[in-house]
Amino acid sequence: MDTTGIHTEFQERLGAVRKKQDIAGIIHGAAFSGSVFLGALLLALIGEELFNFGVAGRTILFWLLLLIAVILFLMRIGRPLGRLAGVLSGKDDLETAREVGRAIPRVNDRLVNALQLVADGDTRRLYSGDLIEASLADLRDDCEGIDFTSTVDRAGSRRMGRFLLVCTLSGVLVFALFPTAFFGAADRLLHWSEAYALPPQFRFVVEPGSRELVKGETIPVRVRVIGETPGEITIAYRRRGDLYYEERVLRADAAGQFRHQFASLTETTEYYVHARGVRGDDYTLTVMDRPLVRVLRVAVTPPAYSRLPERQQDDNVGEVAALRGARIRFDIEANKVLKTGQISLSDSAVLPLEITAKKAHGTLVLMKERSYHIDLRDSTGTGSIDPVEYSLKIIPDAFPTVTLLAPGENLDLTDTTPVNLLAKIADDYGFSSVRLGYKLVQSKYEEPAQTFTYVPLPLPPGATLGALVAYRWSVAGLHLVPEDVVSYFVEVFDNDIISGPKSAISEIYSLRLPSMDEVFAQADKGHEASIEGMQDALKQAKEARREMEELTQSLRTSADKMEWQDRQKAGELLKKYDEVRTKMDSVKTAVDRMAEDLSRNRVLSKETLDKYQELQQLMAQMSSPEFAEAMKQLQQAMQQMSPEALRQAMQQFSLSEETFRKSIERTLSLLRRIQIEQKVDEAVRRTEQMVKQQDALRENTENARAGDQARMEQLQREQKEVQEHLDALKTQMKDLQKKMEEFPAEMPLGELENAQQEMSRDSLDERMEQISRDMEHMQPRQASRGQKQALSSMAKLGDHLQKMQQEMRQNQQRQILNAMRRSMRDLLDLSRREEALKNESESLEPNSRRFRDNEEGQMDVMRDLGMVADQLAALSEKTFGVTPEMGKSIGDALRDMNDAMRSLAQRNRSAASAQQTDAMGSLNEAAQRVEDSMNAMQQGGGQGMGMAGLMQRLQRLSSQQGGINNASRNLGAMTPAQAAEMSRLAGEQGMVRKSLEQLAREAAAAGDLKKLMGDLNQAAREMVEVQTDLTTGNFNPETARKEDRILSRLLDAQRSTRERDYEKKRTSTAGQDMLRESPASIDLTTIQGRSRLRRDMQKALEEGYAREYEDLIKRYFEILEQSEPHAR
Amino acid sequence: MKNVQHLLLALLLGTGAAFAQSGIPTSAFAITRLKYAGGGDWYNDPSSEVNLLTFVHRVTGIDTDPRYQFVDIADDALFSHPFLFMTGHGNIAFSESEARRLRAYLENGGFLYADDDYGMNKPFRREIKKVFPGEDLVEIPFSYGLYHCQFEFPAGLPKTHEHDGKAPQGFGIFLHGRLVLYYTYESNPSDGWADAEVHGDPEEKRQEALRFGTNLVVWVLTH
Repeated sequence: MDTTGIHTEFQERLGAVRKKQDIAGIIHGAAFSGSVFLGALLLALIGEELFNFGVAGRTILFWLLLLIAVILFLMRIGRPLGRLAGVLSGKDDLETAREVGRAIPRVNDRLVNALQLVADGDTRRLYSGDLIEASLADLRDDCEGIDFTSTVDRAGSRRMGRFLLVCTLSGVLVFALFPTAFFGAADRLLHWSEAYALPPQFRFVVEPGSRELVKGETIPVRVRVIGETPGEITIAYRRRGDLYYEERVLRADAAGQFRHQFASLTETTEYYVHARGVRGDDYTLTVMDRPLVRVLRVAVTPPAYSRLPERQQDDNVGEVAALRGARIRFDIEANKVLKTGQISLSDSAVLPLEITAKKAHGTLVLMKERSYHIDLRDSTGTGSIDPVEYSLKIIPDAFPTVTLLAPGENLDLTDTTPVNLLAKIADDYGFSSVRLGYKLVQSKYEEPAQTFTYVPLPLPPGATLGALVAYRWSVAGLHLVPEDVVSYFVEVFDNDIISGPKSAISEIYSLRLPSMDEVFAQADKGHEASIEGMQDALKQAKEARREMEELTQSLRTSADKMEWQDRQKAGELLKKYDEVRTKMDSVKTAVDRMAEDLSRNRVLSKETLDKYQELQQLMAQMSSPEFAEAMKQLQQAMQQMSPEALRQAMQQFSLSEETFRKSIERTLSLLRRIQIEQKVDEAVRRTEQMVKQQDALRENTENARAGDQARMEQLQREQKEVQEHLDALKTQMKDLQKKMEEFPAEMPLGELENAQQEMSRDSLDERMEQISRDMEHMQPRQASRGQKQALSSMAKLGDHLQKMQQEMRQNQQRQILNAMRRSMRDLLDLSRREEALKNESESLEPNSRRFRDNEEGQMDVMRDLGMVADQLAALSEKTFGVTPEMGKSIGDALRDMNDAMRSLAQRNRSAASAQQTDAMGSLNEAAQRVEDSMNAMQQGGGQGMGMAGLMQRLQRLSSQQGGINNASRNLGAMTPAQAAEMSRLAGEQGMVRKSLEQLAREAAAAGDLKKLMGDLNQAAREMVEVQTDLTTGNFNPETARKEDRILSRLLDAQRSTRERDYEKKRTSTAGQDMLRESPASIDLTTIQGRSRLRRDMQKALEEGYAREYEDLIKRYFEILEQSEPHAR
Repeated sequence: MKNVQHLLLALLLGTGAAFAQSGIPTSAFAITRLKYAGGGDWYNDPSSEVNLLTFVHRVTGIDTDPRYQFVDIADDALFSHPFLFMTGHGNIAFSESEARRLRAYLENGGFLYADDDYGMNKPFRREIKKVFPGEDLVEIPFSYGLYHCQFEFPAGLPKTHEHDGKAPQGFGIFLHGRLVLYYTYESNPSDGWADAEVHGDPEEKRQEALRFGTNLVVWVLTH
């Protein structure tokens, strides 16, 4: 580089130094100027504030400040700025080089020297160019790496900057501390030309001034007075929006402060203070609402198992009572926008709520009882205060209940017939299951069970809160043996899946399978009690009869007025008869129950059961309405106080009483006979049972392993049981013998003796003892042999007993038939005698003396008829075959004969003859009834017709009719063979008809079966028509329909007979609730419309139109009914 | 004397005359047993009405006349009895004139309650057809007011007594919208009204039957 280049380089480097110096000068000048100006301004403001200059003073001050500012700018900023901009001249290179040389010792004067060498032409001439160049180059090399600008001092600028900062902060501080004063002064200074009033002597400092507060908050206001303190100040306030302020005078407290309190502010309030014309600033207390619950909606969804619907509570009802597990949904509407919300529970649990603007909601599952309240916070974080506390209550799910309606008692089983259980279950919300629990608690052969066995029972479909659970319990599966006892109950579980199903059990009942001994013992007891009851009733009735006769005698001697004693006696008499009647009613109930038990236990023969049924029927007829009516009339007569009326009533009552008393005697007698038959049945049944048991035991003994001691002991125990049964049979047979001896003529005592001898001869007792000993000595073979022999003896005994039973029945039937035959013969004989008397009466002359003879003859016939009636009455105590209809016919005959005698006494020939004819007819009718009854007995194989006999015969006829119906329908084209077959069927139909007619006659004779007659006679009539059709070969569809109707009538008749037959069993069975669908609803308007049409049709038909018109009328109304189904 | 004895004997064997004198109506509500011909035991369970009327008075305060009384259809007093009750086990037979008279009674404000005590169903239906040839017995739905007017019977008739194991049914005949005849089948409430020892029904069943009877009385009195 040449000299020029190096020189230029130095010039540039020195120029950079000057530029930096100018910038530093600007900065320093600005800081300085600022500091000075700020100081001046502060001073001016203080002066203004303190002295409140007028316009002139403030103008001077303002302009002075402005002048200072300009001078400072020009002096301290403008000059360096001008130099920097090149407007003003500054230092030259040499001066700058000197400053650099002073600042950098290594450079020192060398730079100045070099510059001078180049710049000074004289010098240049003194030195060679090369030397100058070398000197510059050398300097340049030495200055290489030296920054000349580093010689510029910036410390002054920094110091001045810090000073400016301090000044600025001080000013700000002053403004901050006294904003009003300084801003006021500044304002006035800026508006120097405007005139300002003088500032007050004091001013107010109000705390808290303006602020926001929560509704209801109480705000204290404190006012300090700066300056001359007035004695009192006034605070003025108003609600926002009001026109006028309210004012209140405040006095300074000891501290010189004025205080006021805005209590429980609910609305935004504006206020200020003033005193002596000085008004303080306006402030506002802005009232903010706290968040609060405006609407609370609670919805409760009960647990699903309860099947209850969701329940929406009334608005703002927060108390909840629900089932455990219920879901509770809270929907809350607040008064303002919310930020957060929660349900706070009394056990410190918290349920956060979901927030949407002003709404909040949340769901809680109710599992325990607590209380809760709702906490809300608004967007400012302000929370609700004093929330309402609500309770959450749990409604208890009650335990289910179960009642065992059927059997509903400790039950004696009759056999292994299933037991019908009916349980009534109930719960407040429903069920989950029902089961039957049972266990064996007592047994002769098994250890009682320790635990219950359970069987699930079917819940009826649709069972909700209550249901009837029916179950047919097959007890056969329990393999019970006599005297076993099983406890059982029904258990129900509710459907509470939240707390777990709760259960309840019914009462625990027991089932017991009674032994045959018990059944018979019970029946015996019933019999004895019934007989005793009847005897008592009879005794009482006889006594009452005697008293009645005395009373009747007493009444005969009474004058017109009845004595009070008579009246009292009549009253007592009625009371006694009422007691008798009540006693008989209870006997009847006992007999019914006994018959029911015996029937259910199937321990009696069919014949004996039939007799029981007839006995029950007889007893049901005993307490007739006629007797009750006679008692009622007697009572009414007593009240009339007339001996005549009482006498008549007594006479009427006497007749009914006689009937009643005789009925008791007859029933008693029949009951005794039935008891014997029952005992015979019992003996037969016991023997059969014993044989069965012994046979099973023999088989077990044969199969027993030799040496099996436990088994042998068991068998020995069972053998002893058989022996006990034998002892019981012996005792029972002795008892039977005693009872039979009461009726020696009727009872097969000889055969009974044979049976007893059979037992003694075979030494059954000893044989059984021996068997037991053999078993004890572990000798099963010998024991088995003994058992075979015992079995054989028992079988013989059974044969004897059966023979005895048969003989007894045959004897009874024979005797009864003979007696009836005698009575019938007598009746027919009397009829013939009556006919002779009638013939004689017809031929009598009015003045004939033979009237007297005829009358005597009539009296003889009457006497003899009385004897026949006595015979039949005696017979009625032995058999049910003597029916009331026979009595009625005989009674009619007696009445006619009595009338005839009166007519004969009056010599009224024609009347006597007619009455005797009637008497003859009644006698014949009585004889016919006796014959019918005899036929029925012979065909039925028992005494009287009996339901069973009728049933059998009806069944037989039905079967025959069914055969005819089938055969007639199978007939095809009328070939000779078919014609012959049809003829045969016609003959068969005729036979069936005859049998049916006979049956109908017998049913009529049996009295109570009269109601069957209608059906049977109708069937018989149609049989004639069918027979005719078959005979003529005219078998057509109508014939087939007739056949069907006949068969239907026969079957119906059987059913109605059977219904009657079983009626007594039914009466002791209470109904069991049955669930079923309701019938469809009825539309009364439709019914009425239809009814009206039918009534109209009926009326029209009753007018008596011709057949074709009637058909037209019917058709017309049918169309009308179809076309107007809702006609009114 | 002998004649009298013979007459007694005849009576013993069943020739007792029937006495049928109706009771005297009073202002209190009474139930009257309908005496009918045909052989059925119309007089069955005479304590039934007495017990029911006593019960009705106790639970409702209705003035009742708890007496057993009966009336024949042919009796002039028939129309003085507002509530007739018939029951029985057997046959029923209305003559033509009886059927007409009974119809007139029912058409003019009377009410008949018939309770099948077993075996009465067929003859009753047959005979009632004579009374109302143009009417059918309609089965009454469980919602009908009779089952709810005093005591609640949501499932209809109670099953008081066992007959053939069928569900109990209540039938009625309506004239001009009024129930004039009510017939219970396979239910037999009147057995439950009878004295407890008569049928040995459980007390619960008896009470149920009596409550049902009360409904019947209340319904008839108010409709």
